[in-house]
Formats: sequence, C-alpha cells, structure tokens
Amino acid sequence: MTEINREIKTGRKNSQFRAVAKRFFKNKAAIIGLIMFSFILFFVIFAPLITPYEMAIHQELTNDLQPPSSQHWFGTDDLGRDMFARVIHGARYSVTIGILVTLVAGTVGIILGAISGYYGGKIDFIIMRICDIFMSIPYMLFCITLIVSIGLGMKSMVIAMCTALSPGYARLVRASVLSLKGVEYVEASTACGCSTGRILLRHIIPNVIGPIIVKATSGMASVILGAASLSFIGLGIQQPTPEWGAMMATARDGMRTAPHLIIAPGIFILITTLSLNLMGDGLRDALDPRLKN
Amino acid sequence: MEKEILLTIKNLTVKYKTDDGIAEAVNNISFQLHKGETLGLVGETGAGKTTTGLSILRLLPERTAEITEGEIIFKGENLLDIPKNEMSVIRGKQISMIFQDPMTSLNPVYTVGSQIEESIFLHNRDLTNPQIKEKADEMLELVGITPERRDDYPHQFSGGMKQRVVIAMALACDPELVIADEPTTALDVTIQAQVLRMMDELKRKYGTSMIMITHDFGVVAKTCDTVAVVYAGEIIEYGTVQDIFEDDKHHPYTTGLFHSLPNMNQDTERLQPIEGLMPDPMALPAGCKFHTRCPHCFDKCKTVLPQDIDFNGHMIKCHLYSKEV
Amino acid sequence: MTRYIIKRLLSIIPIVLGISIIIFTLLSISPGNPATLMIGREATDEQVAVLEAQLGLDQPLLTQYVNYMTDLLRGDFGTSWQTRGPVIDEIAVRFPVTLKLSVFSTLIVIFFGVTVGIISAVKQYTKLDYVVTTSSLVIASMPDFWIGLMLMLLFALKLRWVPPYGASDWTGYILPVIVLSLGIMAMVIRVTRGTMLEVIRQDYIRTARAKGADEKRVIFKHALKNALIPIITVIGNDFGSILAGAIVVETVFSLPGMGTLIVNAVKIKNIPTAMTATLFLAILYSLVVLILDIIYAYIDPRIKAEFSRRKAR
Repeated sequence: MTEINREIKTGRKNSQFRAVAKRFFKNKAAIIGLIMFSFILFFVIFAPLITPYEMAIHQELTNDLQPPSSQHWFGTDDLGRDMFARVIHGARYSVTIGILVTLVAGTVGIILGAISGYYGGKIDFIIMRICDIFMSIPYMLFCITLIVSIGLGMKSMVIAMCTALSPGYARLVRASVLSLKGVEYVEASTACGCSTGRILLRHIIPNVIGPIIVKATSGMASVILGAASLSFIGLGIQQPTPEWGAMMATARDGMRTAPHLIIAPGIFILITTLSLNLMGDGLRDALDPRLKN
Repeated sequence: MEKEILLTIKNLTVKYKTDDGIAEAVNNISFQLHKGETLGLVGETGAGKTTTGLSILRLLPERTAEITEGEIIFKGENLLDIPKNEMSVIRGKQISMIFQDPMTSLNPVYTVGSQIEESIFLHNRDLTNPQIKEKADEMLELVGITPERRDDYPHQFSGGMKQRVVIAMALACDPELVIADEPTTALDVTIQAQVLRMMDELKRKYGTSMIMITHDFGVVAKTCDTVAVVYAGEIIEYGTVQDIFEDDKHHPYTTGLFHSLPNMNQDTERLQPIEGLMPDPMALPAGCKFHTRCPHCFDKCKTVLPQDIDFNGHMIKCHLYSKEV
Repeated sequence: MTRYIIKRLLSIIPIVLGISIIIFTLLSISPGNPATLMIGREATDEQVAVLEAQLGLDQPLLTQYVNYMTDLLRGDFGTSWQTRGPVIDEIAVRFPVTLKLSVFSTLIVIFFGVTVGIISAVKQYTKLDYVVTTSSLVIASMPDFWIGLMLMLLFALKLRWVPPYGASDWTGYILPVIVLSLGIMAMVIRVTRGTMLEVIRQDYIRTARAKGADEKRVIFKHALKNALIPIITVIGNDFGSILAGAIVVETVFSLPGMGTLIVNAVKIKNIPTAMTATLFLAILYSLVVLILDIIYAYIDPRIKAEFSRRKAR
C-alpha cells in the first residue's frame, strides 16, 4: 500500500519536474543563461588548473599596468599581477559567496517562514516583527553596520549578507505557507492525523519550493552584485585577494591609462549575474507558464 | 411566422496556438439566431462554447487564438471585417456579454456604480453626469440592488449580487444581443433560479436576443427557444427546445447527456454517465468526433465526418440516421 | 482613513526603536576606540580611561543606549570623534547631497520605469518589447559602480562633458543620478511589465473590453490602477535600493554625501557619526515606506473600505 503510494507520488513529482524541465529547455534565453553560467562555472572549477593561484597574487612591479598581450591576456595591474589569473580566480570567490549566502539565507528563511506561517499566533508575530525591523534598514546599510561590528573581511561580509537576506525568504515562505494552509489537501492531511513536521516537509515545502528557487536564482545574482559593491567601497574582501569589486576599486585611480583593469572584471560580473537572471526568469516561466501568454 | 434574423454564424473555425501544438477549439460551427429568441449552446467544459461566444465579440486572446474561417453576420454586417478599433462601438452597445465568474469579472478598484455608469457613458456621450447616474441607479434597481449601494466596491458584494451588477452592466445600453456565458454556474442553486428569472424578465421586457452558454439542461429548459448541442467544437445536434426535449431522435451524445441527468419520471437505479473523456482538441479523432465514446459506433463513423441530417429543422449530425433519409 | 494613517504612524514607533537598538548594539560592540582618533596612537591607558569615562563609554550598554536615545530626542545627535564637532553639523552638510541624488533618481525611476514598463507590456512580443526587456535585464545585471566607472571613463575622462569627481555644480550630479537611476529603473521596468501583463489577463479587463471601452481606456483606466497597487510596494523597496546605491555611487564619484560620510566614519571607527548617520537614513527609509503605504491605501479600496466600515460601526 505504502509502496504504491510512494510510486504514485514520485510519479507525479517526476512528471511535474519533467514538464518544468521541458519548458525550461525550450526557452532560448534560459539556455543562453545556462551556457553563460557553465562558462563561469568552468573557471570556478578549473581555475587552478588553467593558471595557479600564485599567478593571481604574484607581484612583478617592473611589469605593471601592461595592456592585454599574448602573455597577459587581460594585461597586468598596478602591482604587475596577471589580470587574467586574478579575474578567473575572482570567479571562485564571487560564485562561492553567491551560493553560500543564498543557501544559508534561504535555509534560515525557509525554516523561519514555515514556522511563522504554520503556527501563526505569537511566534508568527515575533518572527515577523523582527523581519520587519531587519527589512526596514536598507540592505547595504545593514551590511555595513554588521561588518563594522564584527570586523572587515570576507567572513563578516558573508554573515552580514546572510542576516540581511533571510527575512526576505522568510516572508516569501510565510506567505506561501499561509496560502497553502487553507488548501484542501493540506486540510485533508491534517484531518488524517499527519504530524505537523510531516505536513510541513511532505506537503507544504515541496509546494512552495518553486517560488523559492526562482527567488534564490536571481537572489544569487544580487548577492554577487552586493558582495562586489561592498568590496568596492572597501568593506568586503580586501586586497590582495582577487575579488572583482576590490580589483576595480584599486584600478579606479589608473582608470584613464588602464581601462582594461576595470572592463575585464566588470564583464565577468555581468556574465555571471546576467546568466543567473536569465535562468531565474526561465525557471519562473517554466514553473508558471501562465505568465507567458 | 418568419422572424427577422439577427445573427448568422457560418462555418466558424477557431484554433488556439499553444506551445504544445494547435488546439482546434471550434470546428465549422454554423447557426442562426432570430430577433427576441434565445439560443442555448449546451455542452461539456472545453467543447468550444465560450470560444464561440468570445469570437462574436472578437474578444479572443489575440496572440494565441485565430479565427481561421467563417463569417459572423450581425444585422447584415460581417463582424470579422470590421477594423479592430471599431468593435468597441458594437461591444456593450449592440452586443454585450455576461461572464461566467462574477467574482473576477468586476474591476476591484472601482465602485459598482461607477462601473455601470461607465457602460452607459461609453455609448451615450451626450448624457450629462446626473443623467448617467440616474440611469445607473435605474439599472441597479432593475437587477434588484438598492441604489444606495452604488458607492460600494465589488469585494463588499456576494457572488449573486456581483452577477446582478454584471448583468446590469451588460443590459445598461439595451443591447440587441446578450451573450450569457454560464451566468449562473458560479452561483448557489437558490440564487441561480432568481438570476435566471430576472434575466428572463428583462429579456422579455426589452425584446433582447440571447445566446445562453451552459452545460445545464435545466437552464436550457427554462430559458431557451432553440438549442445547439456542442461537442468537440462542433454542433452535433440543433433544434427547438421541443425537438431536444420531446423528440425521440437524438444524437447519441445528447442521449448520453440526458441519461447522465437525474430524471424524476423514470425510476432508474443509477445515472448512466457517458464513458470516456472528450477528445483532446490538439488531437481530434478522424470521422465523427464522438465515435471514441459512442455506444453505436460502426466502421463508417471512424473515417467519415457525418453531415447534418434535417428532420424539419431538427438537425442531427450522425451516421445512424443517414440510412433513413 | 484617518484611523488607518494613525495606525500606520503608530506602527512605525516599534520599528524605529528596533532599528535604533540593532544599529546601536552593532556599532557599540565594534572594536572602535575613540582614543586613537581623538588623542592619537600614542595615547596612554590612563588618557584612554579618562576619555572613555568622559564619553560615558564605561557605562553598561543599556545605559549608553538610553543616554544616546534621550540625547537624540533632546536634539543632541552626538559628537564626532573625528572632528570633535556635533554630528548634526556633518549631516547638515552631507544630507542635501544625498537628498538631491536620491530624489532626482527616484523621480526618474518612477516616471521612466513605470512608463516604459507599461508600454513594453502593452506591446508584448513586439521588437520594442524585446529591446526593452533585454536591455533592462542586462542593465539590472551590471553592478552600479561599474556602470558609474564606465560612464565616467567615457563622458568625464574621454569626452570631458562633465566633471569626473565632486559636486561643485549641478553638472557633477548628472552622471551619479543617471547611474543611480539606471539599475533600479531596469528593475522597475521589469516589475511594471510583469504586473501589467498579469493584470491585462484578468477577467475584469475582458469585461471592460466587452463593455465597449477602447484600448486606451482599458489600459489607462482599468489596468493601470490595479497594476499600481503592487508597483507602489516595489517603489518603496526601491527607495531603499536607491539609498543603498547612493552609498556606492557617492564613493564612485567622490560626492560628499551621507554614503561617503558613513563609509569613511566606519573605516576609521568614528562610531557616533556612523551611528547617527545610519539611523538617520534608516528612519528616512521607514518614513518613505510609510508614506507609500498610505498612498497604497488610498488606491486599494479593500483597505480603504475596511477602515471606513470599522469607523461606521
């Protein structure tokens, strides 16, 4: 009996998943996004094989501010470091931060939002008021304040961004849970005596996961942009770590003579975030095909 | 006594283009509607009734739906030839439509009074504001709503009340033709009867013609003069209410529909539903579209599309009867 | 309606208190020390202790917070550890710059963002729509400081049409305002277009067409007002993005605004300035959201009716 049930359930899920995947792969823009993201992911995974990390921090002061050449594809920076190595190793930092922050903020948000929406009452009130307060401080300001209090650097930046972003996920999940709570099949499982945890895990979370994935995909893009901005104003990742935003901050003063130092990391950020946004849009349309017509 | 013809639909064919293929929603539908009469379009959900109704007003979704063939002649003029922007002169004024779901048919951010006033204002630009207001109040009263509620918003009304507002809007300019798309489906049974009675009274009072789209034979019996039974985008049986309810010759589909209704006069143990499902409009079967579910199906049905067989105006599209004529 | 406004005004008090507690706590526990700034690196431990006692920093955190807030309410915004002058003097100089920047950007964002979004939705699947959606997606994917640097490179350094740095006259604002508006405008266009498409599909739009309303009336009277309700919420959030963006854009163009004030104060651990300036912006943001909420209630009859009915009872 349970075997059959499981089969029916997974069968339904699979076909739903397949339909979404089919729509996603039919979407040209989403495919372009996927290709662009694979391109970046390639550098994230294979950067050390293409050029060792030492190349990204190795200074060669006699060879500074070189324009792009066959030896240094993207030229060299003010300390004579190879820009190509710095840019592709930068991908590792940006993408890792993007994934890490999104995963942590998303998970914390899902837990808080599900608890808040499902239990309601006092817990809901407290969680939501705290979220309100966090969300009424502009994102950047909040990150700056938190980073200062725990010290500059990558770790603080990640903690700050996770804290700043989880309330957004919590709100989204709470709203979806609330709208699902009244839906018949959830009421039915409540009536059948399913435990709360089971209802949340088996019936509610799988049904709110769609909008969360969409939000997470484009959210990852804004995490990458935010991390670059924080590093650019000098509060995120610090030199000599090859981070795109920090690289541009240093390159700014010599911008007139060496514009390539700004153009190259900028284009890599653009490719990364654009690919994520394209995939996010593709996922949204695939999950909710209604929106297209 | 031959009545004046108000609307003639000839060979109307509508297709929807979707990501998964082309759906043939309406296939070669033809019918006539006389002045002051009510025609019932009966059939299951997805048979193409609403699409037919929307085609008349040219309100089909522009990008996906296409009228590939046919004519819609209203008072001697083919509506399909009229430029798109001139349709707004006809909509609401000469032909208006009552939609299925009153909960979503009213604009949530405007008061019901102002929405009725808009219908009047759009086609009577010479009226002054107080005159429009007065007329709108009159319409509210006509549908049984006190004019004091004119400044309320739709969300403050119940479903039945909203449908009354929708009806008031549709009738505000004394249209010659009203297309009512399942006007009572979303309502409680008790409210259904009230709304139907009210629509019938209004129709008589103003001599309005009506196309009643429904899946409910009870509604047909109460309101219609002629009936067209629609299956998979085709009219498979057409006749007067008497033909449909009293004649013993029927399309097997119509018979099936009747058998699936509870009948007070017969002592049946169980209702007999029609086996199977309506064919997918993206993959319609060859021959008679009903053959996949028909208890009388024979070889010819599977390949040859049956023609209309005329029994003094009672038309049946079925090979079963072709031998007789 | 007055009831609603009063209710919303009151609801902002716990929010502002919450914001102040968070910002105060975070900045107070940060390892900043006034001594290095006010005396110098060679400060002795005694000097530091005297200074901390003078500034009340030896008190428990809660006492410090209460003192800080009572001072704020009395109009004392604290003393900058860097300039030793009142923080309010710094803000008075810096705030107008940020205000100009964000007000102009907000106006541009609302006007162009909403208009282009609507046009794009109405002309869905035309070439224009493709151009708008593609370019807004690309712009929304660029870091704003990078757009700033690129525009600076082209218009200030190569073409020399505008000054690259500072705000000595109004031309200095041109690029910052454009940069600040572009990214957020791209997002507003995307949201407006999406919302309009959603609204245009609704049954009541079909009803409006069936009544005989022409396309212009359908879009501007029936669709727009419904679409504005969600758009207003988004614009509230976007004002937050504009304030955040201002911090970055001011850094790019070296504008003496609140953003550079906060970033510099934070870097040298000038806590009182950072705290008051941050609090100032956060409260400003809450107020803007509050105003938008009230506008929202005026447009959405569901909120309006709820409160007028309660009053009637």
